[in-house]
Amino acid sequence: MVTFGERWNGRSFPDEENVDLYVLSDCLSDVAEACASWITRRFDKTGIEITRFGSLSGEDKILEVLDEASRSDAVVLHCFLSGEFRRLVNETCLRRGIDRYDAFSPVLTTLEQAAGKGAKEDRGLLHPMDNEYFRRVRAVEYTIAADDGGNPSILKEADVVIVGISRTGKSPLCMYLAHRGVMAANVPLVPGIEPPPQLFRIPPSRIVGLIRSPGSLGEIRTRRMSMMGLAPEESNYVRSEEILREIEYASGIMEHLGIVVFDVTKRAIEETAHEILALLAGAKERHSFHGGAK
Amino acid sequence: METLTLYIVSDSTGETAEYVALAAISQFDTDFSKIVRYRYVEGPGKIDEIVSRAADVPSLIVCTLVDKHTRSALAEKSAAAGIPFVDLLGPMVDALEMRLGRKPLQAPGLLRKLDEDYFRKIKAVEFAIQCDDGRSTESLPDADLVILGVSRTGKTPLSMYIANKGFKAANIPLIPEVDPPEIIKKVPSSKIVGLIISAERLIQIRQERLRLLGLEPAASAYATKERVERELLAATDYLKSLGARIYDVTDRAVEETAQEILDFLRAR
Repeated sequence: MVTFGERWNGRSFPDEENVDLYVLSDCLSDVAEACASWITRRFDKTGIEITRFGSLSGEDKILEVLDEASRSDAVVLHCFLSGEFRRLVNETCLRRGIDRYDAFSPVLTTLEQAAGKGAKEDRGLLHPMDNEYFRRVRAVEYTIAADDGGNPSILKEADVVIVGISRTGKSPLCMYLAHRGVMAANVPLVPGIEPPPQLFRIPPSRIVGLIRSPGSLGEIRTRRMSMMGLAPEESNYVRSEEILREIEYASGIMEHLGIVVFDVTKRAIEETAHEILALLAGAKERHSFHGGAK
Repeated sequence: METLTLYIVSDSTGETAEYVALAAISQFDTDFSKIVRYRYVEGPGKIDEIVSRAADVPSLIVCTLVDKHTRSALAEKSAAAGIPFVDLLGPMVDALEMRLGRKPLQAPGLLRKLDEDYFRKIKAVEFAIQCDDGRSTESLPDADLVILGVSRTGKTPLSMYIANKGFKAANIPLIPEVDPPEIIKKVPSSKIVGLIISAERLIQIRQERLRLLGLEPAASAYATKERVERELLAATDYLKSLGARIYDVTDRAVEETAQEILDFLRAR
């Protein structure tokens, strides 16, 4: 097994290193998340890149994740209710020289000794609300980190990526989705600025485009400019030919990506959100969405 | 067996340790119910007291401490007193310190703030979900903000957005035929905001909603001019009677309204 010291010696600039942290869990995703978040706060939320593998339920998948952890020299933090999975992860990590930390066993084992009997390993006994709310908080944290094209390196983690030009309501839509437990990223489409390459590696079924009518965009942008104390008529931002150009550009990219597009012109956020939730839930993709074009 | 007392020792709020411990405890039908928390423990000074208290009864000590010196002092003294001890996440901090080539945050004040913000946000999100769309009105007195408005004025996204900033927001629909819950009168007017919108815009939104539901807009009163105008008028009157601050959300992004409300909440 490679020790920390040996690894460290092999590196030229250890102080500029980022660490990949793989967080593995079964039904204890909430507990795993609380621990991972605690750790990142200890390091001022910098330098640690978290990749989450929650709700793991099969040996094969776990071994696959550990393979990947080994290849990318990641540190593993895990939290499993299943004793079988805990042993599997611990033994595999030990054998393969993966640095790992088992967050659940120490407390559980101590309690087993005190109680003189084994834990029940029954997920039904866990506080169900807590699971739900950590899942939502995790989604919200992710959504903030991935708002407005921030952090393209975490796009791959998204349950859904929303793309669209300015003022199509990407951020509130993502926030709404996050509160339903969906990790939603959004990427603005701006003519002259290439979207991040990571976007093109996301499966099209996980990307959604938003469009809005030019008239409605013009109105919203004019109001926005006046609110900011700027004169709208002087800006490209609200000029109709500029808006048309932006819409054309965005439509081109959406077509290239081959994604579902929603026209949000006359819609409340909830409507679009619910359609996206239905899409994600694996609802049969209809050929055309009302108010949308493909 | 006897009740086991769980001692949580943390240099911050201790909520993470408690969270892990509660999940573990749920897996036993034994009574482990008693929890004693030592928060904001910043050095080994308090360790003797904690261990001697824990030694009086059957107990378990779980700690989340960054400082190695404090941690090892607690580990040694627990062992000497024969008390089971778990250093939760400490070894992980040590490992990451090596990997990152830098020390964890040593500023207790900053850590405490980061932890408090995190759990405050979790609780605000949870509150907003519980109190969405007029549910759990008994919790209204705990709200930092109560949002009122007729159907389709965007109350839910606004509540969610604000919750995400760490404020507990509830929202209640205003429906002419249904009186808002009495308990709203116990909420100070400074915590109540009302959302209004132009009738034309609301008609558009509602018509679209009906179409999405597969209904013919003309077949329902929901999106008619008379109905919408009556609802808006009744809502405005009611909001004024409560002394609520009123925001017109016609063609406004949720973030803009949210920002104004947040500025107000923070200035308070």
